[in-house]
Amino acid sequence: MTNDQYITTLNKALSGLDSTSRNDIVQEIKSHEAESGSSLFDRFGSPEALAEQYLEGETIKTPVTQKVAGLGKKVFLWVGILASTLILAMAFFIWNVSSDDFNYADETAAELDQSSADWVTKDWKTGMSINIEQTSAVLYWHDQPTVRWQCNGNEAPMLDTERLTVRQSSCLIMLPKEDMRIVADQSQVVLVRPQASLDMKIKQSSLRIAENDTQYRYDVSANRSNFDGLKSYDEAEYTIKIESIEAMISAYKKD
Amino acid sequence: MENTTYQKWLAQLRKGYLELCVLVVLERKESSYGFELLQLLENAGLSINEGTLYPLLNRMFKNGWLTSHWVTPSEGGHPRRHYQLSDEGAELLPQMLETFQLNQQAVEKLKELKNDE
Repeated sequence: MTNDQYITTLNKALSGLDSTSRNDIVQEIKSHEAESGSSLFDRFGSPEALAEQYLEGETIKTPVTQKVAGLGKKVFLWVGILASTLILAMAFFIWNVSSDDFNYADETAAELDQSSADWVTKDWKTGMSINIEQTSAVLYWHDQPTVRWQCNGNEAPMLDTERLTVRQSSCLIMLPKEDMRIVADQSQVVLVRPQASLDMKIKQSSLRIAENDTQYRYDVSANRSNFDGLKSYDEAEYTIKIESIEAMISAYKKD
Repeated sequence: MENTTYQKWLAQLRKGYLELCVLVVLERKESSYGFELLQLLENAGLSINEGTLYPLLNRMFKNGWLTSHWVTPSEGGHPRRHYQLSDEGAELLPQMLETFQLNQQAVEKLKELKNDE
């Protein structure tokens, strides 16, 4: 190996160093060569071994191939971030589009058309009550002496001589204009312009009332509950008595 | 003793004291370059090859113990990289010398150990 070849190889083997350091080293070896006049290989050993001595403990510059790999990682990271953002945006869009925008307070909505085939109609007897458990129920009042419902859920509503029981469902329910007791547990209940006095017990539930310009007398006994946005009128025709345990009671607003 | 393990031990030992020797030389001479340092060390009885000395100088420079600048000889020829003690190196040298001497004394003491001690 000639001294020129030695320098070339050494220079290449030192490529991990910054150019100033590399240049200083190479120039110093050349200076030694000029001074001693001997074979660099004989005096210094192999250029690779010499480079190793220099590189010991050095912070090595990132080779171009690793830079490319690093660039790839960055691109991958940004693509990942972009993809995640897109997924989040889509999820938000879907949630927005699929959220229930039906206005339950609209008593003239086509969905409440009693002639619709998927409504179930049963007779209602005075003194009967309603039990609502783990259910999302919207209660309307109609002019018929019957109870009607349209439910989606795991269990079909059950009606016996004393009560209508609705569990683990999502229901629209039409009630006769008769005073009644309603018990709700772990449920979301919307009352739409009640046309009877109600005796309610709600536990760990959300009760929203769409008054639709009707005034009510509220008699609320709240235990660890929140009663908000509803005003009681003493002269009101109907009384809504509510025993509330860990529940939220508020005026209905469309989602 | 296995020759290779001895070589390893020697390399470890020399690394430290060669640095010390370079600092001592540069304290005396104020400035010197690789080829001259090599000769000075050899003349002092320290056989060292170029492949060890130059990376060592470079490392000491990076450590901040030495400073360097390029000097073109008045008689012409390739520029030489001259090294000097940096302030840090000058401050460190007395401590290094003291430690080295203490270690030497410790070895001497250990050599005088008797069987019953």
